[in-house]
Amino acid sequence: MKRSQLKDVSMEIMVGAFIFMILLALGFFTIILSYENIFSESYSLSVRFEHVRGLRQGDNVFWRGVMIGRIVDMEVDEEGVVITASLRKPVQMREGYRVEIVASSVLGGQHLSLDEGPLNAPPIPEGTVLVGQRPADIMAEATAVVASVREQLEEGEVLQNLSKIMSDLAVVTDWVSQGEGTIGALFQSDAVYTNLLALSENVNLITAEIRSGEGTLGALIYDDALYSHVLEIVEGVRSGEGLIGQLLVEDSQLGGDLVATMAAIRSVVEQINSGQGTLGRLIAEDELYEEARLMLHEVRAAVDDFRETAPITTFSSIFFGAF
Amino acid sequence: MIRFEKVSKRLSGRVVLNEIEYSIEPGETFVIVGASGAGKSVSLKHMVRLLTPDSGRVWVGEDCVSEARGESLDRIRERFGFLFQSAALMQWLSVGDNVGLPLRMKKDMSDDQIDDLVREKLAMVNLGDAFDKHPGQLSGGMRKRVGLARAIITDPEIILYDEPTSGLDPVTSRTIDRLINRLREELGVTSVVVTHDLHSALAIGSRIAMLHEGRMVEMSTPQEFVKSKNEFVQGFLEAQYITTQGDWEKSETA
Amino acid sequence: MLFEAFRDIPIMVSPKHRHDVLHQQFLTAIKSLGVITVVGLFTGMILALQTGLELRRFGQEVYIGSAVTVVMLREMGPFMTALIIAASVGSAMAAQIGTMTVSEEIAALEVMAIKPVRYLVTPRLLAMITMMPLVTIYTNIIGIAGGAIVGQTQLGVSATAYMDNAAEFAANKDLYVGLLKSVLFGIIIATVACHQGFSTTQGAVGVGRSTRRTVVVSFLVILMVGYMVTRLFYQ
Repeated sequence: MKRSQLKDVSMEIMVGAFIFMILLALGFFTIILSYENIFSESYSLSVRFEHVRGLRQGDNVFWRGVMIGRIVDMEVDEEGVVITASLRKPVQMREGYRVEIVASSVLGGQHLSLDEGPLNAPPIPEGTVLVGQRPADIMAEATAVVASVREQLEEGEVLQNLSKIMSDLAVVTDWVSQGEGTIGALFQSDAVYTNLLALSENVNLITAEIRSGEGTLGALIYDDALYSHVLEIVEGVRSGEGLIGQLLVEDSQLGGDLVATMAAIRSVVEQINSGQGTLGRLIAEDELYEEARLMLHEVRAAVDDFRETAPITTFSSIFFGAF
Repeated sequence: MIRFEKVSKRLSGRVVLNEIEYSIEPGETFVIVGASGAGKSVSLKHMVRLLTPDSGRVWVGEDCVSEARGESLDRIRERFGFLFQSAALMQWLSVGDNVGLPLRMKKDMSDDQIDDLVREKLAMVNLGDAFDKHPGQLSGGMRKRVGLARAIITDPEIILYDEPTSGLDPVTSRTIDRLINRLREELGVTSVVVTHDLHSALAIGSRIAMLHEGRMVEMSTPQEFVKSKNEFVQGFLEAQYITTQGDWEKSETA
Repeated sequence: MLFEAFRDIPIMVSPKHRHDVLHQQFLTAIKSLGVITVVGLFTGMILALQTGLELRRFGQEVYIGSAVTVVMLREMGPFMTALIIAASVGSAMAAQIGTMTVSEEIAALEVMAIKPVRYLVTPRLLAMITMMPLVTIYTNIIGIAGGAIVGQTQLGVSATAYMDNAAEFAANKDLYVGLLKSVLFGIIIATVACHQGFSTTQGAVGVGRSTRRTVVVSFLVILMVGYMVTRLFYQ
């Protein structure tokens, strides 16, 4: 045999071997990609769906969370879609079964999930076309939620309102910190505090004087002579003596008015008392101011965050909507 | 056998052939000489329609080769063998495959038959041992001889030689000359040789034609050629130190 | 030329032409396997790494299986193969035919009444048409394997998960449209290379020019045809 013929033969063998191997690989690929499993026994399962929402031929079938097969065929008819799955294991479906189309991941993809039904339920005969649940479209719902939130934010003017509140608050805190207005003065001016302190001291002094019987009130309270004198007058009044007595006795309406006035005064005093407490705290403690300031800070940060996340939310809703 | 009828050809704007007319008789060795660029090779290429004339016709026997196409052109070409200046061997094929190429492609012959014929032709050009070699392993003269073996493998009626001795040493050139003579004697072929080697021309030619600037300035037997009074022929002879008749007779017997 | 070459394809079955076709098939496929292996492997690895690192941000690295497989089958396999074959085999074709043209070998064929197209173009075209899809399948396999290696070693995706994911998302259509592309690319390379070879003038400089033109023109036409086929099948 000639040298060139020998070379020809070796070339032929190499090219032939290459072609053979590649064709083998092509066959293997074709089988893998067409989801056929020709080497082991398979079991068929047919399910009718009203709507399959993007489920594709070749998608996986899961049973109790384990991948046991693939969808090999889908046929659309007038009533819906009948999908046929090829399973590696037989699954005995029973009354109360559930067959669902479930999203595989947030990036897309679907799979069929089988739940064979309660153990004691009667079995469904083999070959029956099962009825699948209408798939819940998580992505569509998520998109709808995002869209409605966005609508509220944009069309309900929540964002605008929030930012208006914040700017108002900023103005108010500016005033407060500059000592403008009553509260500002309370925060900033020592004079108010001093006055209040002096007032309460005076009240203490007067009370002490009364207690020691000094002055008219003191005498009224502590001096028996005066007491009896006053008693006499009161008796006189009660008996209709003098102007006051007459006023009281003859016009009982006047007495009633007086009582009502007294009650009103009391309630005002009580309100003042509680007001004094608040004011006192306002004056005495820095804590409230600090808290107000912090709160302001947080609210402002929250609004900023919201502004920043708004485009992201919009984008992600579009992104997920695309799947 | 081959007839040029007022053939004109321009290449790159230059007139290479200017209304040339001549005819070549069967069985003769017609040598065309001339300076480089005189239109020798162009003339040769017109005979096998590698070039077509701008005007005029080229006849091969009864066929007009300058107007032939397809099958009829193939039939005309099959009557020719062509030895190219560079031998034009397929570099990737062995000598044996090169020589056998026309048979393998055109004729219905078995590999063994082809091989036998190839060996026979290689032996004719004294290259019996070169069968498995590649063109790259051969010298220029050997390549020319392989080219010649390929040109004669189909036993053509006409062999065209384009500068068969150019670039070869004088000894190898004379070997080629003898081969050309032998082929004419043994196979009775018509030969057309283009060369500027006058020694060679005088040694092999039955008639010698001289081309100058696209025109035929001389056409005669070797004996008459060396005596020509044409100034271009004289210049050409002098340039190759051929001044007397004796010189070329000596070279023929060398 | 292309028409003539296609018309002559049936003749190539005959034993006397078989050698030429076989030789071209050998050059196209076997001789290119080395470089194809390296390029295919790294293409797959790069694809896996790039997509894998992005997918990792979402915790979905397993999707490199489908990403690499689909991209290799549809686009990168045929494309990379075509580029390599154009640059290696195509340029060599142009250089060879170009050299033959300037050294009168083509003329010699014509004088021997051997049609240069039948003798030179048809075997090359046939070799390209038959071997390009096969080499593309090889590139695909190597590329997908490269992706699996990166998945296993750098992204923690097991080969089984990788293949499962690949099989789930890649379809036979991807494979066969890719192979159709590779056939078209093969025709483009052979046509451009042979045409450039036959149009060579002016000696060695001309051969160099033809070789360069072959690579450039092939690349451009491959890109454009690749786009058009993709558009045709994946609208």
